[in-house]
Amino acid sequence: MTLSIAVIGSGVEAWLYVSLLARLLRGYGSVILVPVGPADAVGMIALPPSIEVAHRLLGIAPSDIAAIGQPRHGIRIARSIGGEARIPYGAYGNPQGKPFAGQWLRLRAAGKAAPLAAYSVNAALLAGAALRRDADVEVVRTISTGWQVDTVRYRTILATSARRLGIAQGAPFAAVEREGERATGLRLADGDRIAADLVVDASEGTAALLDPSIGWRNTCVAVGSADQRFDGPEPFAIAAILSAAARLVNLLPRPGSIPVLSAEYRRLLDVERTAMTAADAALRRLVDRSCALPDAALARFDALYGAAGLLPDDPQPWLPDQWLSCLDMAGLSPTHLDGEASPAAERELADWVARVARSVIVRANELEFRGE
Amino acid sequence: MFSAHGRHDGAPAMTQGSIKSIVIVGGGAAGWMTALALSRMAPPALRSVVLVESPEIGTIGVGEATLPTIRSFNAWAGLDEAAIVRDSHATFKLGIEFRGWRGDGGAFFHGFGDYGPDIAGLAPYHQIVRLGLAGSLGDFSLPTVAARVGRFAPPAGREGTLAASYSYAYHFDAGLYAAHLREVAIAAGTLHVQGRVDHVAVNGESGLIENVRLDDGRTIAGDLFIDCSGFRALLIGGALGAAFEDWSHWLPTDRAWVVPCAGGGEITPFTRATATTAGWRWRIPLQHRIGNGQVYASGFQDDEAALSNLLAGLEGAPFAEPRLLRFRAGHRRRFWSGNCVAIGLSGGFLEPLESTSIHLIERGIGFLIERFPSTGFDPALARDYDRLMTQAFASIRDFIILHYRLNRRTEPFWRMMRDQPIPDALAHQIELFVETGEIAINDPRSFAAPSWAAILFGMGLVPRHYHPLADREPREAVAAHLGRGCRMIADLVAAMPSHRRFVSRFAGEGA
Repeated sequence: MTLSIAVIGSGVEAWLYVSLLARLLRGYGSVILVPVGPADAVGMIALPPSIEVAHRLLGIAPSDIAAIGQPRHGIRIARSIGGEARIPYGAYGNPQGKPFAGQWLRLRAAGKAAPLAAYSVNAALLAGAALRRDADVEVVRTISTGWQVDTVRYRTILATSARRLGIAQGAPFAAVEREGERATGLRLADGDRIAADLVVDASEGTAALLDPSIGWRNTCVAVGSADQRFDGPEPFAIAAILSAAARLVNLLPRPGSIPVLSAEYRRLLDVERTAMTAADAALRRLVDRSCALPDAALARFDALYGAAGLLPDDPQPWLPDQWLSCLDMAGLSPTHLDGEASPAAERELADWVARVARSVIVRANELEFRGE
Repeated sequence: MFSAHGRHDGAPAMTQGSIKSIVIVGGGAAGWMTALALSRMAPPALRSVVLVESPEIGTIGVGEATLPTIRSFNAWAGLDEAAIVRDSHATFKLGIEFRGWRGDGGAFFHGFGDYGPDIAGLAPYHQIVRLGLAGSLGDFSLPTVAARVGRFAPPAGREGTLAASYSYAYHFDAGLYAAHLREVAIAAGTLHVQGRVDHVAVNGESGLIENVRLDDGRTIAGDLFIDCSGFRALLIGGALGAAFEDWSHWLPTDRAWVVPCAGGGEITPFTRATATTAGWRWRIPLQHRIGNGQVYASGFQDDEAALSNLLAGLEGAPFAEPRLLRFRAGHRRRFWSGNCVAIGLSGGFLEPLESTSIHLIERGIGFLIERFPSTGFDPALARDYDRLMTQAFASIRDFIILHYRLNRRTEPFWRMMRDQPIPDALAHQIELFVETGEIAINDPRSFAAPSWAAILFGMGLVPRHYHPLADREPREAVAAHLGRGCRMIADLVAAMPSHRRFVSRFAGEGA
């Protein structure tokens, strides 16, 4: 069985998706990209830390990305009540030590904790500090970085990568060809027809080609923003593109098996969606609490954190530490914390604050990060 | 006068405030594992852990075979492995041999390990299917090969190497294991009270348990109560009326005869589960005896016939009169109600086909410790505990049903088990494997893909298709790679001592 996949889209999501597909398929089948509508608007696009894996796979050098943007050390959220909320990526505290959240929450309850940001080098960098050349190696290991890059130039890098991997580009999209509920291929603006075993909508929702939120049904797949829009400040759609490509390759069609494979694809997608939707809702709540939509998973996370400082442990787009920031900044505070952090934990965390502080150069106008 | 650190004055239990006293009702493995864990955890305000146990009420003791996760519990609880092996007459377990389940007289093995690393990014099953080796899956499993020849050595070496790629569990006398735990738990501060609970006082307003009264008139009050009273479920069921989610329509076996007997020479490093007319028979080798049990569905076989089945299969003289156990598959809809948490059989039961009874106790203890209500009973903690335990039961339930579903035996019980409806999630898992060779995992905390593969392939299923990318690798190179793996396994196994020799040395009896 050979496999032909037609991917519709012109933006970063489409080029990223086809590049990853081509890399993971290792020459199996054919992938063609069919442009639709205008390419991404000019401006900047945010990339989550997990993009690093994709860049490594695609052979895109960090220097190429650094040349078109700047590192993104966390999420900055302008709050409707004024001010800015900052969710640093990376870890709080020493990953080799005791779990951070429980110790810090107990220290804080006893009035002995530094502000959360003081335990994270990402928080310092997010606030504008610079990393010292002789920074503590253990501290540096906790850094996790996304990017803020020029959209057009990033798309160009991805398109170059995709072409190098053998991705063809068709004439602009005209219509989806169907037999009943199945998409059988695409009609292009130049009148050509492309037959495809799978038609993937990666158009970022600009063209509404397929039903929204289908995941994968019959021969139609929707990925990234074409599958689900995220309105918050974190680029979950990019993270969703990464996992969508890997998921499709893991579940590549076999003869007569699309119904069961697509059902498995949707089951896995549902788990991811639940987590991302909760995280997205948590971020939007920080922008403006009155606009927050109810979300069942977020309500559960709120309740567990509010009860005993527990952080989500089911599959997440974030580390637990990002949830700690997010829930803490939402004003939640555990009501049932037992006891106090041990003196050893108090010393360990105080030591870590000092190691973080020694690892960065804080400029005068950024002292507020340290609460000074 | 009872002199526990806990209150015994009948004062009302708290609704908020620090947990100072914990009362565990019931001994056995569940009670003593919980007592030891909570004593080790030592929440800051805790002043007492009291375990109330009736000397007249025996423990069930069906959990004589375990899963490898018990080693994590033992290590966390600070238990000495050699002492456990010595005191509980334990042997080592590399997996479970299933005999007669396919209906063709053959056997297969569920080993505690994988079938090798991924090959070019794909699970090894795809290449094994591609090369027509599905019937030889066990050859790629180190614990399976070691079990076949009765050898054992614990995993060793660097993570990621073959010698470290498997795990093991124990067979032990659950009563002796509990006795060992009792000694350690008492040394760690647990107060042991002997007496029979004849009344549970529940506050009519708060719905919380205030105290339990013993048949000699003593009352024991506490802030948190753990129900380890087994099938009787004295607190969670009897006093609090938590409803039972009945799964007997999916798992209709409802009785078991159990009897120990004398063993022969070699000790097999595995549990054996042999399919019989209306259920299955277990064989669990200990150092000095063999534990035997006959699980059956009373709707398909009467007690006498089941007992005959059991006795006919004994390898030596019985050491005791056979005991009959009755059970029902399912679980409490609330494992945690008010200030009471059910751990062990009081929370639910699944037949011991995959040795999950003690594993479910470990899960219950672990979830409780993570959600320990140190300073009061927040409903969010209880509901999350219920959610996780329900998920644990459901995923194990589906794994057990899988064994029955795929059988090809001809007796009425087995035909029914093959034909009756099954949970949707399991139906999807089976269809996915049959059509594509993919293994879906619904609960990442439960049995992993190699365990599912062992049963799916072992029961004779061969996927219609494998992953298309498997064909990207040269067939000869893959065959050579798999062959090398088999030879490495054979070499490692050849260097292992016999299981009996290892046990003797480990338990300090001399080789």
